[in-house]
Amino acid sequence: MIETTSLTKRFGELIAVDNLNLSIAHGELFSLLGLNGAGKTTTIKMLSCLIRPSGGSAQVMGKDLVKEAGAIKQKINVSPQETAIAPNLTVQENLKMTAGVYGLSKKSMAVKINEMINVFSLEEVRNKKAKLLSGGMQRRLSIAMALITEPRILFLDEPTLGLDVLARRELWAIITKLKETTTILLTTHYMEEAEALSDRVGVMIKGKIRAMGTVQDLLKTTHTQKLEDAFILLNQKEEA
Amino acid sequence: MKFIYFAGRNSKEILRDPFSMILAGVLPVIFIVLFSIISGNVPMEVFQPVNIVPGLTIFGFTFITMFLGLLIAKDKSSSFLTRLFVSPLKPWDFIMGYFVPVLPMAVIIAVSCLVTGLFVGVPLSVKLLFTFLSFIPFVLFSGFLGIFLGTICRETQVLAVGNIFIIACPLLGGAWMDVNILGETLKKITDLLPFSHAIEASRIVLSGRPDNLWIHLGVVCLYAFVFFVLAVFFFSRKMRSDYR
Repeated sequence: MIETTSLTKRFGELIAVDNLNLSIAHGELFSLLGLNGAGKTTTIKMLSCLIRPSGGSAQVMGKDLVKEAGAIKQKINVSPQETAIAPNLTVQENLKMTAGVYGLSKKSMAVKINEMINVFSLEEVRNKKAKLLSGGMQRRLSIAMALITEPRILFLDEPTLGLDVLARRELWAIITKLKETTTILLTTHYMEEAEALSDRVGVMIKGKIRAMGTVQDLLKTTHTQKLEDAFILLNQKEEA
Repeated sequence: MKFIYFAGRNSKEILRDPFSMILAGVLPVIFIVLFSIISGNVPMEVFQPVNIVPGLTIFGFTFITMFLGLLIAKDKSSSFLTRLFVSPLKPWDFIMGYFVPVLPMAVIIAVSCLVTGLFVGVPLSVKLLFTFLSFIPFVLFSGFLGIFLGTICRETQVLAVGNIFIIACPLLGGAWMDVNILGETLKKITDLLPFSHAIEASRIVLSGRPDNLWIHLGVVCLYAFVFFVLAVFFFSRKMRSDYR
């Protein structure tokens, strides 16, 4: 589904993503873990056609990331790190606008809007302006806007950042359900989130993937009991 | 036609801010009434209804630049535009999506000013319809200037430049005074800017005087075209930029 070969992104002198080789299978949930500035968001920005790579190549659904960006964009969606909603539009209007710009027919638009409102428990606030919703509700709406277009690949950039425990658990349940139909690339700072949701994880340090595999693989390689310990150990090794 | 959905969102964002519509739609109307009262005491040519109504309608359109610029600058500062840049929308869809909401706003401003004009002495005739059409190049210019400003400026910068634009247009365009009193140098500058040409073109149409209508309209069209090109160029560049 996603294949990168030596994918690199430079911002002047800084190498944000350094020779990234990644392979994510259809229906897989892959989590990218890393400290701030490790290159997680830059990776998502490149793979979602927001910024051009400086080097290397990538195939997304068999299409070239640079040459066939238009075709890729039709089949992917992203939920950015910050909540990305139109504040003066209602919940329903936000969903309708997103479905419209992706070219959904009016009939399927109505069906999908109702489906998203049900899945994300937004019925009570359907006609409420987005700016008046709680942080958790806004985040749910933001992800619903990414899913209404039925993307084959979904990029979730720190989806639970700033949410309370309850809202986080609710979102986990939704993401777990999504795994049945959608390939997901997720970035997170929360180790327990990666443990609970991921099929595989990749630890990114200074633009490079330093370890990759299932959580069990990582624990085995680092001789640790918890993913957090493994993550800290890998970062400390890099610093040393 | 995917941009229609994006344009719908932008219309709602602008129209759901009642303050903006009051400023753009009501302020020129109040000025028209005020100047028509003044013209009773100061019988100057520039205060005559056929002169003051086009001048103040053009003044009303300048608010479009400010609102559109602010909307784009706000979108840029949030992740909302990032989400849309991932979508299949092309630069052209964004330009249309931002510009289309300007049209109903411009119609509201033009109709409210022209109808007010009827009450203060503008004769009811087909010239009103032609005057309405003569506003189109300046509306295009205002819209594309707004997109250009919103694309290259931050919110606070748009506010500053937008305010200068709103003040400069009626002053340098002669909306409520004769531009000849500004002196030779300033008059030369006003001739190079689109404001006085836009106002003069509408005055020629509304009064029905035989004059160089097409030269005035041509200058405004040229400005509209230049800012259209600049808006498309800079917005496309913004979409490709690594730093959003």
